[in-house]
Amino acid sequence: MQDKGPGREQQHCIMTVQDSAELPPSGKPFNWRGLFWQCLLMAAILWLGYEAVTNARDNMQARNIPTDFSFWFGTSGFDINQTLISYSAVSTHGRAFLVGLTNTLVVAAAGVFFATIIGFGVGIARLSHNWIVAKLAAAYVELLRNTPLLLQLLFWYNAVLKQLPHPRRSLALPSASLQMPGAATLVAGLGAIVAGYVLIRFSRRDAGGIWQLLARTCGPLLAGVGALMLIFGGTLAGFPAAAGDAFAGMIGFSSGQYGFLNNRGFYLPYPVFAGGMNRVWLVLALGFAAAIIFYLWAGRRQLRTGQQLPRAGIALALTFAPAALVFWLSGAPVGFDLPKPRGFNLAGGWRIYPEFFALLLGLSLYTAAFIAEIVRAGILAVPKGQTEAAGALGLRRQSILKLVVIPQAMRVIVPPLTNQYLNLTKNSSLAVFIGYPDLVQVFAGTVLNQTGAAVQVIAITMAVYLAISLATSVGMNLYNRRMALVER
Amino acid sequence: MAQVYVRQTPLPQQPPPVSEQGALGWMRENLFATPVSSALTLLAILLIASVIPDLVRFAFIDAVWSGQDGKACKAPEAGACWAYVRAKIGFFTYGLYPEAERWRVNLVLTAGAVLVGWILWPDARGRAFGALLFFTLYPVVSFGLLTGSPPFPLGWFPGGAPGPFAVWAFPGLLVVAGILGFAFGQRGLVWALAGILVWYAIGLAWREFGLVKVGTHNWGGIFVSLLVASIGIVFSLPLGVLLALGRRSEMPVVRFCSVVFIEFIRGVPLITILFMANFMLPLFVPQEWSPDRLLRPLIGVALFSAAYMAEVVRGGLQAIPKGQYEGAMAMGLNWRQMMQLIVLPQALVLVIPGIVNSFIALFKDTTLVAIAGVFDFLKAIETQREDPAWAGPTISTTGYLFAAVFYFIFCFGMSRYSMMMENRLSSGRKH
Repeated sequence: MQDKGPGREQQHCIMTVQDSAELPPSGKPFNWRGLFWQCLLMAAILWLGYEAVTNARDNMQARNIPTDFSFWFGTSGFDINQTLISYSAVSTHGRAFLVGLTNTLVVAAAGVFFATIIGFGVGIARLSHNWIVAKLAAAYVELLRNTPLLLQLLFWYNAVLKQLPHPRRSLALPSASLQMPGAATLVAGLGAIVAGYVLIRFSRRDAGGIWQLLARTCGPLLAGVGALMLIFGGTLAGFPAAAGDAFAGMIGFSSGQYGFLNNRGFYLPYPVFAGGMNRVWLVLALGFAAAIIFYLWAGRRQLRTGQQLPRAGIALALTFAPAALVFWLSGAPVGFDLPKPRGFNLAGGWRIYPEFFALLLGLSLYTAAFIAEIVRAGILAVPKGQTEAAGALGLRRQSILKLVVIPQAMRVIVPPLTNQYLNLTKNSSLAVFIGYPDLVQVFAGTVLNQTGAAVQVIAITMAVYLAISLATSVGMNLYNRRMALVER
Repeated sequence: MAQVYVRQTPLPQQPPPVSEQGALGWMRENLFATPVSSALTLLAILLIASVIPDLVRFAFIDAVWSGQDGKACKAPEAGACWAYVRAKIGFFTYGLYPEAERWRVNLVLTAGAVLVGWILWPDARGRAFGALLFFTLYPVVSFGLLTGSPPFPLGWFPGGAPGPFAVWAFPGLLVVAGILGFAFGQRGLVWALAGILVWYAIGLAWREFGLVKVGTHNWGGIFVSLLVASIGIVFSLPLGVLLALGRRSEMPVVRFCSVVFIEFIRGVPLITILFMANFMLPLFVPQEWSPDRLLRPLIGVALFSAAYMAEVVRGGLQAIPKGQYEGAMAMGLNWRQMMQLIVLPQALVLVIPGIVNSFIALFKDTTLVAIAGVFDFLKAIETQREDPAWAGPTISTTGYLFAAVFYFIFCFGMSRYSMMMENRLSSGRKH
């Protein structure tokens, strides 16, 4: 074993049992006192356990509470509004448990996905050389980290989503009319970019005084404004939306209203696939396999010859281009079930309930603040000499990040990151406060109240979370072991 | 002789280029260094410009500052309804605690603030004594003041409620004092007698100036949030130290039990622990012992934070160099002396930032006790939101804004404190 160094020891690992208590030198006489205390502790725990069990049995019998698990097969008799698996009021309590479990897993998975994206973005932004961006990111982290998650959930649910207009006055999405940037904007934006680059070039010469200042500040500024004009050209979100509009026209959307937002939820188009779609899926899978093979081959090739290919770009193209081509050739075999106003409500489409939306929003934004701090700490943990050495080798900033900093930072980031994922999963139990039917709300809430089988229900609920935690920590320990092997 | 041209005087120093100095230089460097950076700056300014003025308008300019009911706040252009917060501030702070008795809450909170300030002030004198007060005397006195019932059954005092204790307490205590005097000499006797006298003085005072009892169903608001958090810390710290010691113990049974307890609690959400405390705890004890409605979540919170505290303390124990342990053993100290005199004092100071951080987490988590029917601050706001006299479009946001400001000030202040302590500690350990 090599010396691990201090940084390794300080790593915050979840549940890695490394209690190497400094044992005194062997050859000590047998520790009778230790034996006595341990026996005493055992006896106390056994006695407490015995008391608890007998008391619970007596109390439960006195209150007519079931003491077995037969309630699991009893009819639930209540409805759940958001289910992934088929469920109705005549289903069993066990089925209700499954519904709650899947709902918990869905919101946790979605939360992990978004929290990771936002968290990495904010964490990198905090280290940005751009002062205002760094400060904004810091403000985000401090604001979100220092207020209770429950308060944020209630805010999103009660003060934002529930205050949206009634279904009949839904907000239509996207609200801005879609159009390409006008010719004038296009010309102006391109002109600004060109002018900005000319100025940047100009400033490289030894111009002095105020001219240099103008050139070096206004060049980037002009180019930046130009880029913004192109992106946000005609209206807000005009340009990318315009591309989307062309696509929408191809698959048969007429109006610009794809979605609605009101106090009953978020209504989005629901894709309905025609038979021809099978071909597309097949080609997509084949493309994905080809992309993986290419990716591995390109990596080998680089090791052998030292020549780099744009691996990620080509792999993406391999995955999606053939599928897109087949999609196009087979006449876009997908239709969309659009939400339409009907009576006092909206019908059709894909409805995202406000409870789910609020929970997802709250969990991702809150956890992202913590992930951002982990990412920042991880990047800062990479010694500056690494960045400087990579710079001295002639790597660009992008490549330094991608090839030198991030691989080393990940080793520090991943263990606490997993911890945050676990926290997010556990925090999803706050769903009970806003009525999202997760495991706790359905099972430890409604089922417990109906059956009264408190001990069994809570034990099962805890066992589920415990199993998730333990599985994650086992995976984490495996990861740590693999990482430790790489360490030199 | 060859002539050598050597400059005798240095060239006058050139001013730095305009683009590298002053406010403009700073802006070029930090806001408009590259096109991407410029674009981001502009976007950020746009974002700030679209959020901050609206927020200021909502919170200050259009806000309704006074009023007897929600009429003024229902105007379409009205902003935050601070009149509502002003009208409800008593409820938000004390819950239904009787108005005439609120001085007791204030006294407890002020004393707690003074004690905490004393303990946390760097380099304050007698911090250990302050900590001793906070963890022993303060909870007992606070319990008496808040509930209005004496810390011990009145039967234990002379002239209190009649009961077997009244008869046996006095001679019994004298015997205890005698034993203590025998065991610890004169000093033990004096301390024991003084303790008994104070005890009886409290009893007598209670009988004369007894406080009105206030049931826990009347407690609520900020005061209960702080109470839950303080009880959490008061009980979780000693328990956490024990668990951390147990986890590093040489005795396999002790170590196993500690690990199982810690990892079990850390593996499940706080809500399920609160459910357990609320529904299962009353089943596990004989019916006549069924714990108070407020006590149940308190037990849950204390156990929950103890597990997290144990991990913090364990970090401190592991950070103490091995030489300290060995030195203590070489001095011939036994395990208890080694921990009490050498290791724990160093380890606990080392983990003050960690303790404060877990206190922040605990303070945020106290909001969850509402699930067990406790009227904490957030729950108070949540119920008053629908008061028909005030209900309006801005009431929810106002209440949440108020709560957010309150929690933010607390948590942000504590996190700054913990960062400051971290800097002090790390600079003290640097060579």
